[in-house]
Amino acid sequence: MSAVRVIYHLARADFLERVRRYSFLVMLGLVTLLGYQTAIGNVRLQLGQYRGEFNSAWIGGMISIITTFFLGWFGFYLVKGSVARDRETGVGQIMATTPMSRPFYMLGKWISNFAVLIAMVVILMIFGLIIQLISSENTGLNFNTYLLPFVFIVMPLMAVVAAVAVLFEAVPFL
Amino acid sequence: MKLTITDLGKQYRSDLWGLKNFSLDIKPGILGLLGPNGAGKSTFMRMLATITKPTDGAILWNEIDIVRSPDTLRAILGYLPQDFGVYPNLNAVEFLEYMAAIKGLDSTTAKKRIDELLELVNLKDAAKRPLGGYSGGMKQRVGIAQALLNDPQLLIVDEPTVGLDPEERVRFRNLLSDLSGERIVILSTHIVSDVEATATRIALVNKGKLLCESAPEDLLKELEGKVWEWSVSSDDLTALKQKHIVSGTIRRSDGVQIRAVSATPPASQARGVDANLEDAYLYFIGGQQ
Repeated sequence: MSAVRVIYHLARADFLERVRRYSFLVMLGLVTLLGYQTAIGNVRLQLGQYRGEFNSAWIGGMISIITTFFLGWFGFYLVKGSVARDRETGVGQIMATTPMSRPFYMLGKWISNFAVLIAMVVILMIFGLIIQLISSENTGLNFNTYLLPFVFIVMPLMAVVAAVAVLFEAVPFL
Repeated sequence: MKLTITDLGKQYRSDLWGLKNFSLDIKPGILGLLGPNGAGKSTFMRMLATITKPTDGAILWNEIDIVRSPDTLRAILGYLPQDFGVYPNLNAVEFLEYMAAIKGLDSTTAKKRIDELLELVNLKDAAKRPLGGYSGGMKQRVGIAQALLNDPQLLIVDEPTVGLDPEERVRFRNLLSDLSGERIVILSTHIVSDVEATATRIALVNKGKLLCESAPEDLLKELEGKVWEWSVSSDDLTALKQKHIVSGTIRRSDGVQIRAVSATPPASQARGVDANLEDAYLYFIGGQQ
């Protein structure tokens, strides 16, 4: 049994099942609204009277902090429930009769949770780039500086949120 | 290929056993596990499928204890649970790809097998439609397809025809018969006609106990000279039902034709008729109750 193949298909099936639901579209709509509110200046990062120039580094940092704040809090509620769904649909019963190990199952669920959260992060990232281009304060896109806050702040936090969601479902007393 | 069950028991509470002292030797063919709802069939199936562990006894697959080494059986097991569910937003191909991967099939084998099985269960045309839009019968066919992905030597199907319309039920029985060959198929049901149409052996279960296990013809032999038919007035029907094991009634213009199981002639005008499995089922289950 190829571990990579098992984990990939587990995560893929779970991810596809979720992103094709209406509830996911609603979530995407809310994230888009958040991105839009940021673009028109209703949600912004400001230090007293001052704010940074809308260049790639500042906008990357600003969108990262906004994403961290919103998805850090609500992301758990968005992604939890995948283990319960296997139990409710009966798919879990079939899984229990296969040679697949429990760690593979947990890892697959974690990747799926992470992928769902990252899908939303990507939407906000796109809005960040649009904000920079529309504001025209500094139109020079620097992808490295733009992406760094996402890589070092957002993605690790989303990985933790995804893992905590699996943990809460896997440990009965939680 | 042999499945040996010895003194199997499952205790849920100190005063409640789901199954007790259950012993059976199962060889290739279709074993129909017949019993009323709550008889312990699903408890038995779930232990065979390595989902739950027995409290007592042993389950040996070719002399290997599967309670201790469940993966030995899981590699060659196909299981269709009673309440089979799917991911409603995946289509049949995606769902079967997923199932194939967790059963350990490589990509090439899985693709080939999925094509064959979709053809076999007649779902080729609907293969790309979301499973949420499938009828109960179509979902059951996906269920049997997933159970067959790894070409299992042991196939366990639990109440597979519940919720199916008559045409789908017949199609499912035929499919099951075609599949039996050189594998062990265990079919659990409370619908006698399902077993009548497919099973090579029958095990009757009630209240967590195995009442008997034999070939259908041996079961019928036990009822030779014990099945009777005669006509009575409608007013006598209730009293007769309390006195005899009534396996059928047909309303006629002059009263009701009764079919009943009894060791002695239940009425002077009663004539002996050939027994069927429904009579046998009622005789053994009714006798215990």
